[in-house]
Amino acid sequence: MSFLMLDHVQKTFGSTVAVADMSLQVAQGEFISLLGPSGCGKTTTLRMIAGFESPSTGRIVLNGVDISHTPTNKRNIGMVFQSYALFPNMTVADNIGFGLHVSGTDRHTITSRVAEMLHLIDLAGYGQRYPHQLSGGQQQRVALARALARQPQILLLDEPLSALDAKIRDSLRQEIRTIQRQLGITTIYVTHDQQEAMALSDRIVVMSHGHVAQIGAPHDIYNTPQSTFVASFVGTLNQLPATVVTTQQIQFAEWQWQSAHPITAPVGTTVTCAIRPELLRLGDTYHNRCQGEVRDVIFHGATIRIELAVATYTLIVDMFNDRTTPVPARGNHLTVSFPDNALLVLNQDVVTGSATTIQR
Amino acid sequence: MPRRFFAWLWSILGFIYFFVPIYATLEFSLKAQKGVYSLLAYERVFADSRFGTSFVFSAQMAVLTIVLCIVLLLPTLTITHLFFKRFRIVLELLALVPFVVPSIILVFGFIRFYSRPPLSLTNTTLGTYGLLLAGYMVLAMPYMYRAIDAGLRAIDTRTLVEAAQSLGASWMTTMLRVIFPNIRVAILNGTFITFAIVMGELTLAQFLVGGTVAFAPYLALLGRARAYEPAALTVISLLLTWLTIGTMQWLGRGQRINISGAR
Repeated sequence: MSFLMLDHVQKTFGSTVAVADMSLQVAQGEFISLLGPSGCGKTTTLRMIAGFESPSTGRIVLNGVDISHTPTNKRNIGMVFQSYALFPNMTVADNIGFGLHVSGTDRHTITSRVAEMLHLIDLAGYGQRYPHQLSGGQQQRVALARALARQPQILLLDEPLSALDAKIRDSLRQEIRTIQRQLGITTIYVTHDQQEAMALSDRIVVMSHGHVAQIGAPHDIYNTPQSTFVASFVGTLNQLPATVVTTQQIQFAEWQWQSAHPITAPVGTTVTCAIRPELLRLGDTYHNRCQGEVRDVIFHGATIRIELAVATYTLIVDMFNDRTTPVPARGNHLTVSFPDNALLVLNQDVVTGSATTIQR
Repeated sequence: MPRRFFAWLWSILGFIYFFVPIYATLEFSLKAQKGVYSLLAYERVFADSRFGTSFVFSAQMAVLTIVLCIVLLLPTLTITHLFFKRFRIVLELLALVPFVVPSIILVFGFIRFYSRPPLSLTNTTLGTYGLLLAGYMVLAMPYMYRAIDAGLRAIDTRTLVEAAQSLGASWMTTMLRVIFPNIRVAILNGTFITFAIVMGELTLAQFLVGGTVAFAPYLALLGRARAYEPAALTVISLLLTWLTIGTMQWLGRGQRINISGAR
């Protein structure tokens, strides 16, 4: 049985539907990310689990108990906010000990638990400082310690890294994951950053317009997106319109491409096919190929991105900077190719219905 | 250095503006005996027991007004802030009423309404004091409202409340341990004004408790009958008010409140 269950949860604000129909099963100790653009319902879902909002219909069950309408302060959750939300009037130690203090824990236990938490977040010796004396990253670590001090059943994080600068974001991201593994605490993490979601999660829930678009492990979401929305939201993707020729073949402009998976759409119809930029190779290594003119070359360091004009579309090709392969110049004519299994034929989205083609 | 010159000029002008009237009052209060400076007027003031009783009475009323205003307004405004943002405009308008309605109208309204059944409050001393307190609360409301509202706007009230709730805190604990301490400085500003208003309020006190019970009516009474004593009384009350405000500030001291976090 799952540890946290969302059972057909719906939330409406007046006539606005924030979460249309959300069902989710989370195992104990699992790290789940809710990923989606702003307004997709991810934050509302988290706030319902926290108890700041109550679902309009449906049930939320935590550890076998229906908590759909339980007040927040009776839920035993730990929450980390984007704005840290440390209590400015209290020291770091008092902030971390607040939850324990409220629950009537004795002073001695609080002191030792606070010391333990300070050690966990690597801020031992900072207990007597005030939040405003700490950097953003340190404040967010204190907020994490405060959320964990009470040993909550579930840890909820609402875009905790969005207010931090890039370098701290990456290190704190790893720290959150390390601490989460160490404590084995079930975690729900809300983010709009697909890299963050992929780096952290056991499973990602991609959301769009209040619906679940796809649930899966990061590599499933990335490698086999089930809709154009998921495909285009997670990672960079070339999307091209093509005509179905046979159940194994499609035609894009003058090129016929082979698919490793059978195509379900009827012959003669137009579908969206998708290829990840890093799966395209310069040269004619594979049977599936096309030609175009180099419009731009962008140097990223480890990788080099080439924008190739193919028919009336722009194809993005990522190549490794391996120092031996010559980098093509603007205006060059190139052949690129890709293996059969790199070609994805996407179903049109039921939810969004919009395929965002990269058109010239 | 013209800039420095003007800085001094304005400081001196400001000093004159504030302190000359106080000095004049002080100087006059020392002239009860012809030809020499003496503390005679002060001795007479202190000899009259009504001075002490009326000052203590008004100070007590002021402290009660402050406490009740906070108890009434802090939860109301916090809840409005969190859940009924649209009601803020109603409260804003309500907070203006005491400025528009003169206190003489307020007190006659009080007396007419509360001196007959079902609520004959003016028949008993306690009832009258209660009415006076209610009146003071009305007069102090705009200032307390502004102070608390400004305090709640200055902090990220919603997130702090949610953080406290997520850590298991009840509403009472959230109010006392999180909201109140973080807007304490703002509330303190409101309490100073409230204290000064109640100490100097004449109309309500005159008509409800009359004569010499409250401080301002006693001051007015003395002013009609004597020459030097009111001046001495003014100086004393000024010092006492400063002392009281100083004490409140001292009691409310603490580290400077800094708002942390990205907002």
